[in-house]
Amino acid sequence: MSREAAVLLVGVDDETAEIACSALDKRWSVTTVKNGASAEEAVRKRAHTVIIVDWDARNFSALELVKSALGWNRMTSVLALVNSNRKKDATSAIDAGAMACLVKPVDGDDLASLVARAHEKARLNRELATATHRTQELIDAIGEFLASVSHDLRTPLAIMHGYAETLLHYGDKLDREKRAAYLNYIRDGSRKLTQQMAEFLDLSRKGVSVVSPEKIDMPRLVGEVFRPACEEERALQLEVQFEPEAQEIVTDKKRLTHALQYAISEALQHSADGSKIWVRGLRNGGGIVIHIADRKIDHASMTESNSSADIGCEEAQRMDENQEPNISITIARCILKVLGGDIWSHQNGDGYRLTFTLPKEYKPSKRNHG
Amino acid sequence: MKTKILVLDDEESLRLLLCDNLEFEGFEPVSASTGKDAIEIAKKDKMALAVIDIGLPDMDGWEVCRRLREDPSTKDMPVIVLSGSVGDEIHVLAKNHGVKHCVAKPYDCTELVELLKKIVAAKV
Repeated sequence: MSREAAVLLVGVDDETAEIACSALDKRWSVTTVKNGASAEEAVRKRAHTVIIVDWDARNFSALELVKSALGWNRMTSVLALVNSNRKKDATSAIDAGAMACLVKPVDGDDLASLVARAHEKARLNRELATATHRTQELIDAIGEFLASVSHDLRTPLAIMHGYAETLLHYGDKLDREKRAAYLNYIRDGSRKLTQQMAEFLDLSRKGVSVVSPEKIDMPRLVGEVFRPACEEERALQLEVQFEPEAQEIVTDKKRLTHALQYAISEALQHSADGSKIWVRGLRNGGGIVIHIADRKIDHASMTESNSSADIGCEEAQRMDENQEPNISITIARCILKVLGGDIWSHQNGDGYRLTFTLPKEYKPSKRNHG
Repeated sequence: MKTKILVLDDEESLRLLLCDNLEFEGFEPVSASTGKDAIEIAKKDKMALAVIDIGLPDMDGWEVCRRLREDPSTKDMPVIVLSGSVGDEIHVLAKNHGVKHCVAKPYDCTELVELLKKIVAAKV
């Protein structure tokens, strides 16, 4: 155990302090103070995992100190030292929130054992807090994902439901050709649903695969992924421009390719045939930022209105908050977040834009492997 | 003369579906697939009501509502908004844009047309 873990002795007599220091000093950093005010000052300077307080101290209220100490830091454990003939003190210390009581004169080994337990408790509490935080993040991500799934399933469902309902209500008013068209819409809606279900399954498989970073030429990869979708399928022109410092990154090529495919499929929904798609890659702090837009992206205007460390990202994030959930963006975001990046979409009178970030070099985090 | 209803939805199949239903019920639907087109149509030709989808390619449905409210010729036109979700947030946005009716997708076409008839009747 690290000596960095700190123990604070408050108001203990000299004899007890000597026993405590002798038992604890080799494993933990021990500080001795005389009263509650000094204890508070010591705690403000440095977090203490364990506070040992003498219940017989006359120059401050041990009871108040226990209550205050737990308010200063919920991870702190308090041990109370009491006299053998005053069981009532032990009861009030425990009631106030002390982890345990030791009867004076204290046994050094007993004290060391209790302090070790208090440190273990603090460690477990920290792990629990981290796990709770991660769980909340996961719940939020699932919520966001479900909202997108729900939203994107609504369109094909609305198509199938609406045309089936209209066939039932107005079937006699429809000619043969119109009925056939309605049935085609219902069939297309079911195909779209099937395709979306396949995408969800695909995403669930990607979610558990291992990240394999490699050096990637971004303009080249963007061109490889975007050109067939833009130029061959939709007769859209594509202009790709990357700053020299944004051209090379180290990340998982397969995952990034999937994210780019989802991003371009979404961008194409907002572009008319024969129009143009602009892609700009810029260096952004420790990473790169890429803008995909159906209007020319003016680098000068972006750098004038934003600091060099935020080339349009904050604006994109803020505007994305007003967008309806979208499954392609959500899937791309899930993939990019695994790689340490993010993506935002927004549209306004000036057109549609996707903005995404990636670190220059993928670094595994505990979260990614947790 | 038939009552004109503006239908704004970028999803062609849903736009045609609603237009067909409106025709069956004796209305004259006028359709648009972008916010820009819808605003132009509404300014040129008086519409009894507009049905506006929120997710559009050029601008969102709220922006269309805002621009319609700004123009004296369209500011009083009732609007029904179609949205993927109809939670508290949507109702707040609707109120801020002078929209009294929000319908969640997937909607029931018959119910939507019934709502539309009531609004048009109340206006007359």
